[in-house]
Amino acid sequence: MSHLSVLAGIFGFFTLLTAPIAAKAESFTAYEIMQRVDARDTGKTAVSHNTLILIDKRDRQRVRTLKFFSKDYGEVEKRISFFLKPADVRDTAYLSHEWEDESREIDSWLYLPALQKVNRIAAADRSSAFMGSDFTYSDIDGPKIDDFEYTLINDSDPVDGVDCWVLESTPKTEAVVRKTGYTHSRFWVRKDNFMQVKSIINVKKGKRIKFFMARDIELVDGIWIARKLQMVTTRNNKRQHSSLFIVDDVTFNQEIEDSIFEVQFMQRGS
Amino acid sequence: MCTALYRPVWRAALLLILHSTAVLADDFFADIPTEDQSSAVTERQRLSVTGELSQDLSYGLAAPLPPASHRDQAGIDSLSQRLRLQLTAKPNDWLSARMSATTSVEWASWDNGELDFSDNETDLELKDAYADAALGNKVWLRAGNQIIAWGEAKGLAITDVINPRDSTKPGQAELEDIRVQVPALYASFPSEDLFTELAFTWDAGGIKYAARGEAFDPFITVPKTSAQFVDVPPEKHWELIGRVSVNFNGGDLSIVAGDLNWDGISAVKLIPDSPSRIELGQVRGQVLGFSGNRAQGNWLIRFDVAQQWNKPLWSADVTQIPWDTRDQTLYAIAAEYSGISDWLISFELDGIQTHQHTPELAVEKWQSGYFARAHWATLNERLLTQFVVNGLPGDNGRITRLSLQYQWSDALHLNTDLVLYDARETEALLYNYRNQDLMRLSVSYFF
Repeated sequence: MSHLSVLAGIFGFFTLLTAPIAAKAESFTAYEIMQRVDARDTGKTAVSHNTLILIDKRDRQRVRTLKFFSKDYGEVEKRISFFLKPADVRDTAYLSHEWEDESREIDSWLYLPALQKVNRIAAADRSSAFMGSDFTYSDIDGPKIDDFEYTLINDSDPVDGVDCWVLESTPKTEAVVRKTGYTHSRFWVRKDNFMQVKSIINVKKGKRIKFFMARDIELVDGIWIARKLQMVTTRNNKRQHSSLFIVDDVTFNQEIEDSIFEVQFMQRGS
Repeated sequence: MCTALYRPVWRAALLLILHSTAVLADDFFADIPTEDQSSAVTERQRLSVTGELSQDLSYGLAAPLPPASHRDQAGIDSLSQRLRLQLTAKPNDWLSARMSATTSVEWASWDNGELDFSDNETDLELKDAYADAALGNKVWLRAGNQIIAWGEAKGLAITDVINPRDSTKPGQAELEDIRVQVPALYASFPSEDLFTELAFTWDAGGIKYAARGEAFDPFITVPKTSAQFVDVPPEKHWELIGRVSVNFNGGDLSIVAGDLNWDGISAVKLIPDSPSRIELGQVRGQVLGFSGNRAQGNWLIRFDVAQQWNKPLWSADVTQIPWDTRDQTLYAIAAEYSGISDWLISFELDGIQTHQHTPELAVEKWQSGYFARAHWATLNERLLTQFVVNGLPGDNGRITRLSLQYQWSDALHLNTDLVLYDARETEALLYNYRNQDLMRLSVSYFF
């Protein structure tokens, strides 16, 4: 179930199907809708500049700017991100090789400029926060749709004036809950392009509820993207923290050298 | 009947509550107001300057034992200010350059048991100064003053033998100051699935020790009046170290080999005089080692092992100069666990075996140590806590450090560190500094 597979787009695998498929998408079951959400045209490569704004409950903001590269090799999706700002984390790089075969470990390396050293990191815990934000690594990657049961609870509920399906998802096993950190979720999928634009996500840890919203949706190089993705974490109906991810610019299917996705490149910077 | 009468009212109230909740929930979907959403850097600047200005206050928690320090009581240990500047130029995709330096001012110093604020000590240190060139996206060259950090061990330099360590204040250094930059030409060549790296250094120097008479001076027990230490250059100025590595699914593996000057200090010659002159230098040696890691689920297993030839070793009789040399096998195995949300916990076991061991050596044939670390990032990584315990090999003492960093904003960080030294054996390297425990407070401004 890729709640936030829209967010996954920031790493180059934008999730949306194009209009011709959407045109005949009127009588799908919940699972069929999710299959179409998951079966995305992501582009073979993507390069994007992004801004991540972290806002605490006292409205203090921290701003990170990042550059992402991604390339789909079929059996493996390679992604690398470089921090451009702020100054204390500038040149930090994160590289991951995520394999189509789920039995293979995700390969992840982190380059810390303070040490000027690349370290491999274990990447199995996908429920931890992505760069201190309200998004988790599970949100970024988009968990597997077969890990969840789906129910269509409302056939028509508009979001920002666009008709949507409303679905609920429940993890099939406790292992999925541990892996994603989430229990049940409710989310809105646009009928015109199968994009998830809104979600209410129940988090197991701390009984928090997260609210996701995708905005400024547009077509870039034939692929739908959301320019703004926001996630608000709440507890007892009070905002704890929120994050806003802005895709400043993005290009798809441009040629990217394979060497960018090698460990040694992390030391050279973007 | 009464219940029936009030049922519609109750339902209406419930609906109102539910509706209110829904409205409240909808608020969390509202557009997040931000101070600046248009400040994105859409491309790295061709020329950029970044830096950090920090103000540190260290407070000694106990009275150091003479002659380990000029300070003879608990109190302010140092008050310093540091400016780090970094200039980066990237004229095009295949060429870039970086220069960084730090300047620091020590506002207070101890002299004969008195804290003196009038004698300010200024220091300027060049850090990185290198140029990068990528040749056809295949060969990458870096020339200049740089750090080349290899290996997997944290507690011992096993295959990480290019850059000497800064040992002026053991356990107190910030990450960027642990290694000392060396003048080097570095080249990286990919071929199939292997990466070959070569580093050629010139006058790389050795471990940076504390000045004579200062805290953590390794020769503190030798009175200044009885011996004078003189640094002499090594016989060969160059070092050549190479590495071949492979990254495979779930792990990395590297082989390192090199001909180099050992970073550890060695007394190479005694010139009888009044006072005697002891020449300190670096001894030539060789290294062949393997390092690697394996990730499995939330676990990461790391290892580092190397044979190091011709290592200079302390003698039990300090007057025996030059020091003896022996071959050593060094190893480290570590487990890292990241399965608890926001935590990273690791434990590393270190060991050294000295070959051709004889009783006159100050070190045991088998030495063991450990490096344990717990890192916790909370409040959306606004508060970072790290706890490290480093048991030095060979019963040479233990350093414990608890660090907290609070990121008030992107630009302003507040830090506090508690560093504790422990040594029970009189021969331990830290024995004279076992009362050097301190608390440090610092404020850093990044720009």
